[in-house]
Amino acid sequence: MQTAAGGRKTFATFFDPLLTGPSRPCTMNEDLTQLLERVGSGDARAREELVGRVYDRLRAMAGRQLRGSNAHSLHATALVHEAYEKLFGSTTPDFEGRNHFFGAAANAMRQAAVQHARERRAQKRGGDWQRVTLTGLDLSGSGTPGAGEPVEMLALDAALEELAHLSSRQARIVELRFFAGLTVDEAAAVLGVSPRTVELDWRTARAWLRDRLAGGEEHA
Amino acid sequence: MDATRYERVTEVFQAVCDLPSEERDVALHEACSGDDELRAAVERLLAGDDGSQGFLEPTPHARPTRAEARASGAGKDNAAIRRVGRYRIVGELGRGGMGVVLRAIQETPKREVAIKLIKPELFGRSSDERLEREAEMLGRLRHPGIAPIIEAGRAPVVDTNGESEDRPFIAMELVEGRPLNEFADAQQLSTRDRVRILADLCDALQHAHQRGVVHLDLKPANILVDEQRVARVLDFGVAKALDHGVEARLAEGGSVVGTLAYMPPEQLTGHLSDLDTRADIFALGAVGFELLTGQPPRRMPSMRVEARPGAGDAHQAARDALLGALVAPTPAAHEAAPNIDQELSAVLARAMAPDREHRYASIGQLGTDLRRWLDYEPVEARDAGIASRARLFVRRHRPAVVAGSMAALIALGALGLIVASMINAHALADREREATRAAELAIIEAEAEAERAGRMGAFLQNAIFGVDPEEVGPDASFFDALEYASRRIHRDLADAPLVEAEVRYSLGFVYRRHSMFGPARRHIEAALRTWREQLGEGHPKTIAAAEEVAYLMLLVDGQAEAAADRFQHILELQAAEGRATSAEAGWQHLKLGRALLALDHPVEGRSVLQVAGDLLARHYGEPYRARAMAWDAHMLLAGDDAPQAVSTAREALALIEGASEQAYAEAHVRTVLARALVQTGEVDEARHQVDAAFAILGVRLPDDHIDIADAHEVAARLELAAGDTQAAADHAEAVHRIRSSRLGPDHPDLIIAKALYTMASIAPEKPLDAMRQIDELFHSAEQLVGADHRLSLELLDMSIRAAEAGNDSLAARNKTLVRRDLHERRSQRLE
Repeated sequence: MQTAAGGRKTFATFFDPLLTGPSRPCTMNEDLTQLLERVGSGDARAREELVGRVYDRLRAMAGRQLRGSNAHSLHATALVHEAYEKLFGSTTPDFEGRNHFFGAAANAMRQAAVQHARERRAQKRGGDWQRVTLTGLDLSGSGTPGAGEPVEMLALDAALEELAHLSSRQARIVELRFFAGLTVDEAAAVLGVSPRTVELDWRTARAWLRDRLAGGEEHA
Repeated sequence: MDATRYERVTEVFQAVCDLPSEERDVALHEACSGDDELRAAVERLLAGDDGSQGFLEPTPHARPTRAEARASGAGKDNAAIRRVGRYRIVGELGRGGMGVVLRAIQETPKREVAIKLIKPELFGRSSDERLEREAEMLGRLRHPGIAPIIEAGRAPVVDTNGESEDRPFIAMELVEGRPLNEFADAQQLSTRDRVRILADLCDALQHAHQRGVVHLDLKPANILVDEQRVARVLDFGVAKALDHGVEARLAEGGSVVGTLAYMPPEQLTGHLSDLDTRADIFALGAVGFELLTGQPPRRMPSMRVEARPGAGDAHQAARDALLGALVAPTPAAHEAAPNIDQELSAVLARAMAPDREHRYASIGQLGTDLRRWLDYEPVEARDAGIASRARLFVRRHRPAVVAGSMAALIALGALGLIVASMINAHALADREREATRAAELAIIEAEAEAERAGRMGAFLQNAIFGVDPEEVGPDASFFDALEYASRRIHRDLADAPLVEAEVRYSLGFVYRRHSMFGPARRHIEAALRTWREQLGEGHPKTIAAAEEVAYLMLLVDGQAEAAADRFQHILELQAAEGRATSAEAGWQHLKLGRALLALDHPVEGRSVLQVAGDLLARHYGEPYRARAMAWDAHMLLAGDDAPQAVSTAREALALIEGASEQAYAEAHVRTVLARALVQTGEVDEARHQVDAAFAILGVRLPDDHIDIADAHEVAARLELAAGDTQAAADHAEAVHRIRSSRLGPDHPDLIIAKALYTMASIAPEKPLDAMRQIDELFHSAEQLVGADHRLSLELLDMSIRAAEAGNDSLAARNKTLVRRDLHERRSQRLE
């Protein structure tokens, strides 16, 4: 165990620490392109792996920005686009590839946000709580959902889980719009539906979530 | 609830959610038809929807902070707006200092618009009348770079409950696109592409400034770029329309810091009405700084200005801190980012000068300077003496006036070349970094370039001393110096091929201007070979030499088609190198236009000349447009529109008349004007114009210069029309003499020279002999340019006239039939 941990550390200092993740270091763009192709052909494991990579990348970037002084300037869209750039650099994946990436990014941002909220909550219990407000996405666990009502990130996550059972598309749209900061048109491209559909579903999902988070019980 | 059930709930919800409340009840009742459970579920959604604007909304670009949300009154009153006046609201676009921005549909004409609902407390300072007046003025802004305002005023705002309240609003065309910086980063735009966008923005702002409208709130978030890279400025003049100054913003708190980063110092201290277009120049400079370096030009203090009652002291302290940051000098862009060269940095620094007197006088000048940078020309902003001297040289290099004094030309040329190359070398060195090459390599290259310039200076100096009267006698001429230089080039510069190419190009250029086409071609072709090999096809020098070679093909060989192909290719190369709108491209369009005229394609030719005129006027000033207009007049003559040709030529003349540096162009304009006047029958006026042209050319050019031949040609036509065949024959003889000594044997211009001579000297005595000679010429022309070329048609006309004069009516009739057919063919071709 000791050796393995040490080995990983050497590895991490060898490469950009952002490039190393729990799975394996990803250093080559060709690698990613292949991965995207596999995702495109419906390979479920490839999809997992893609989400994993995007997730690592986004988490590392979010963490770094949160440590830095300009934490308040962090927002989801910028993070996702930066991750995209870091992962693909100058190699431009095709249209399909882009959409797969954004799909994965939305998922990853959601996981990152939830995990961050958990960590913050743990710290809060330890008394070392400091409020970190992020534009567009409040990783501290509560934010400004509009009319001044805080959203509990963990509650939102749970509610989204529920919504996914009722309408997976609506839940997906929330992920894309809220967590990855995609526009209506971008989300429409990722899902392969019309922008009008996304707009209506987005509105419906928000209404449902708002009702749900305001304490609405599920009614039979 | 299961998924199927939820689907039904969704369906009903989506069907009714946009309806006004009274219609909604009816629709709900129908849709649910007794299914109370369904109705309850939908109503829960409707309740959730009510006031959900902003809930989970990503809109990261305009995401409100808490202070802004409070200040804009979110959650109080604009939670669920369904309608504003005649606009149906379909969503929210964002929130800013002024209030909420909604996405809306206008029914007639059907289009999407953005509605800005103005905070009532903000509007208190303004008035309905003022808002409408300003909006009316803003509505007149019509530019692809400006998102226009549709209307402004007060309208009933209807919410979900059907309650309505009058509120001030501004309706704008909805612009798709992403905020400037986000777009540029996502597309990984190069520095050059970013500068291009900035230059385009200058055009848009210039359009508004010329109409007396200033923006005063320019920032990256107010500039959206679409997929075609068209940048549009939003919220034009809104700050002023609302009298929404800095004081007002400070009172509101929130977003003020973000906006202040782009404001000029005078905007914080002064009143809105004291501000002028130079505030926008500063702001665009600041936007450019951030776009190019990735960071705002000044760090604003990291405090928030909270608008709270009783926070007066804190407010004051914040204000002071902000003021301190605002008057601090802005950093140099090239120090902030290594990929920005000093030239570009100087442009930004001049735009952002703290004292507005030191900024560019207009935003158009900023745009011009940015385009200079794009064209690899020295920018105005670097206002050192050396730079301006070099600039003068570079500018004059193209429209070089034929030299009066040998020594002056060469001395000036040598000095200019040295200085220009050194400047260019540094500019090159700076820009090379933008490419992947290492900076070091660029510096070495810059030094090499400077060394080349030094060698060239020494060589030209030798050329001057080589024809020193002490050695070659008192009659040493300009041409002796040129010949001396020509002979020594290879010996003196054999080890420095790039210097040799430079000298050969300059010599070739000068020889060409003196109608000495043989040596001109030899030198320029040699320069082209060297540059193509060593610098590559797309290098500005290679292109310049290729342009000269193509021009000689057109001028000397009359190979218009091949020349046109080459000019076209050159313009494609220029565009690929990002120099499509350079001064060079202007001259290249002019030459392409001439080639198209020679090919008898007046329609395409005119549009090419239009571009030429625009570019020349932009780079050298309006008088230079006259050069393109003169050729346009030729085109109009070719299109059989002589009256229009006369008025175009007169317009051109008005542009340049009396300017001594334009004398040469003036002679050309007068020549074409005379030609057009002959066509419209105003022979006396024509004679006056052609005499004036001769007067100008006579003191500048040798008798046998090719341009003198053109004036003789017009004079010959004129005298033929006036019936003075003797004078016509003299002029025609001169045309033929000059052209046959200068031009290649197959040049179409030789044919017309022979024809005019025939008509003037033979036709009066022996018309049928003249007819047969003209027929010979017609056959040559047919071979050379085709039967339906205007040259062939003109020859046929002459032949018919000669046949009629010789009473050969059968020949005349047959030729007339042929002529009609050819005319038909030409008209079809021109369509």
